[in-house]
Amino acid sequence: MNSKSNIPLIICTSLVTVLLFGIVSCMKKNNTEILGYAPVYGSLGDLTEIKSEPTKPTSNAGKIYLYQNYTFQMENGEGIHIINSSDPSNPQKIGFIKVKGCSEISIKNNILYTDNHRDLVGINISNMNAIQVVSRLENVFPGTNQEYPPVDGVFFECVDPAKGMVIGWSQKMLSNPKCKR
Amino acid sequence: MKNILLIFAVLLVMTTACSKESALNNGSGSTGQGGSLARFTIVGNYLYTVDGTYLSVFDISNNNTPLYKNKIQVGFDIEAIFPFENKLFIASSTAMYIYTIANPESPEFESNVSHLTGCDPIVANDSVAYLTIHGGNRCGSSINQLQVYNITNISHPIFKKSINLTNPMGLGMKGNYLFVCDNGTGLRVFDITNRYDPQVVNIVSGESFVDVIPAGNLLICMLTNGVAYYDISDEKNIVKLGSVKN
Repeated sequence: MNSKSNIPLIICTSLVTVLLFGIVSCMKKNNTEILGYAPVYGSLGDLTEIKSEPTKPTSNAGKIYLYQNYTFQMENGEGIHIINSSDPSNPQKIGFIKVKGCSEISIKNNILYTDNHRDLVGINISNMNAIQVVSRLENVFPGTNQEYPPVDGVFFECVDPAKGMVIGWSQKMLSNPKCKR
Repeated sequence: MKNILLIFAVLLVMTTACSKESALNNGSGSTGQGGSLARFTIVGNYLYTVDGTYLSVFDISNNNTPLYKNKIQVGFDIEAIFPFENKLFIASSTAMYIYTIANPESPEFESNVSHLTGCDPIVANDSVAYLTIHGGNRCGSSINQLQVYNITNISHPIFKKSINLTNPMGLGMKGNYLFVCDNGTGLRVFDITNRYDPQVVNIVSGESFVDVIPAGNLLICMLTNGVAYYDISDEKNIVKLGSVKN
């Protein structure tokens, strides 16, 4: 008699335990959601090709730069978004510059300087939709680190070499990151 | 009479705004403005870059032919560079380095301040340097702070104060206000009327802030998922204008 009446109780207790466990692991996940770095993968194939391209979605948002009525945002490892910000309440993407392995930017006199993997390149942006490479200094930078992000003291998504070459590092919200620098 | 006074006041504000802007532009010609996380910066006819260990100097006076002029070993894990007048502030994971560029091709070491590891960027003017430290060190301790240094004598920076934050990243200064991206909490606005004793006056939440560029009454914010624009004409009541996220 006793053992029979215990069955629903056991089921109930197990259910509650499972539920509690689920809730706790969810909470744990939320607690460890932290801003860190993730590798951007790519191929070496077209590493030095730099050209104007149509606007594209932002997926690995990088550093920003203000030049006259334009804001530039790096797409880490892939290139540079050009945003017309003359009306900051209605900013609009107007183009993209393909530059593999890039993360930095600085502009003077319509010449945009950026890092193309290990090279410093100068790009004339007088015509934002038809940019022109005007200079290249080869091998002046160490290039993108293949093992860890460029910043110390941060969590990051561990590198999986099977996914290809690391062409950039992007700041991202990570849950339960396994690697730390 | 009231009108004349008003016009005078407007003119005065405009002149101040103009002089501020030219100070931001770092020299002749048309130069843009980066955030505090930048590793490239242009001062006058020179592009300064930092990477890992080195500070590099490029002469860019000829648009089509930049010249690689100098390479200086600074330290380890260099993370960002910030220029102010004839100084370069360089942030590494363990220290802040100050160089002078009276001779632009040969930056000269002035001083450095070592601090706990986990460093991030610096902003500074002629009397104060603010830097953020995040994430702690390899030994596992976790330090998240805004640190304040008196740099009136650049050969001897003096530590003044630290303020605990959540997960600070980039920062920017506009007049008597300091904006600090404190990821996990929001954009913190500090009143820095007393340069060495910042007081928080506003926290803007709702976005994942990483870095900022203050440009007049506009604050351009780097987010983890794009860029956003805020009106900062009233620093205590910041208004979001627009954003680009996809």
